[in-house]
Amino acid sequence: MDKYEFIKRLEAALSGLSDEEKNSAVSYYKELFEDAGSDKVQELIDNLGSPEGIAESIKRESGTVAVQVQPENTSEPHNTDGSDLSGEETDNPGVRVEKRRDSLTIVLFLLVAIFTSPIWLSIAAVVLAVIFSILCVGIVLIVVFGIIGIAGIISGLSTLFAAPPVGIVFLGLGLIFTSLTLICSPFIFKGTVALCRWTINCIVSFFHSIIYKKEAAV
Amino acid sequence: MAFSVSAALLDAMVLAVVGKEETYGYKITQELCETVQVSESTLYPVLRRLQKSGCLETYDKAFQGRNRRYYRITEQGGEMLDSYRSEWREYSAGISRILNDKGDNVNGQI
Repeated sequence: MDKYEFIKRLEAALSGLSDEEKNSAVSYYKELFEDAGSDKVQELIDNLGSPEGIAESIKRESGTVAVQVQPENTSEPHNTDGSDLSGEETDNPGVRVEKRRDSLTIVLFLLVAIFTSPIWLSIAAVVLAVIFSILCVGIVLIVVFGIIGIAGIISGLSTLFAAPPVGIVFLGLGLIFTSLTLICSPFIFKGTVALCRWTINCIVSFFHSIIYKKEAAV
Repeated sequence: MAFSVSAALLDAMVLAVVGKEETYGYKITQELCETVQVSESTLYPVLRRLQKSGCLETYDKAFQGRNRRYYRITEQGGEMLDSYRSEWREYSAGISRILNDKGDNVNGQI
């Protein structure tokens, strides 16, 4: 990256800042490159790293990105826990605004919810039923496979001496189903847990979005 | 560098460099980054912050047909620097004391 590209990228990344801030920053770096002289300029550019990263920290300084989750924290522009400034700048963690909606809005939402409840309640019931049946199918599958497997092994063993071919067939089938059970059950188990977690997550975030509103960071 | 430079320390060093002599961006960069191994990318935000908080002020001076922005420490900046200096004295003394304390040493090296 040469100095022209750096300045161009910096300017682009600084959009959103006031003209004064932007020009101050751009002229600082233009000057820096001039003063570095043609021999030192490329080393300087390499050491500066990404213009987008620099733009981010400049924006943070001027308060454009500094929206904090309430309660108010003072926006510290650099890491003040003593962590390294000589390397990469780490991201400001509190970049999303989350404000409690005012009570009137919440009440309004609740009223709307109550009035439309026949619609969304039935839809929700159907969805939950589907999810529940998927879970049931999974569990039943495991149990059935397991039973077939064990039954097969037992009957296989018992007929093994009376009628070897039959016994072997049953034994084989039994072993196959037992192994299927063993292979599938971890997946089914994980799948069940994940599905439950996802459902709960959806419900919780739905209620969360009623009470809080999130605004995207600039 | 084994030990990291905190934001306050960086502020203090920039103030010290400018306090010693009014100077421009690249000079500050050179002095700081070569002596203390701070990344060049951290400097402008610091300068900007110090300027906004009134510890530094800028003026332009013509140089080889273009404008060069010089930084100068204000009175407020000077006071800030003094307090940083005394804080650093205490802080570094404490650290040195702990770091260099080898207990009852036969060699007695401090």
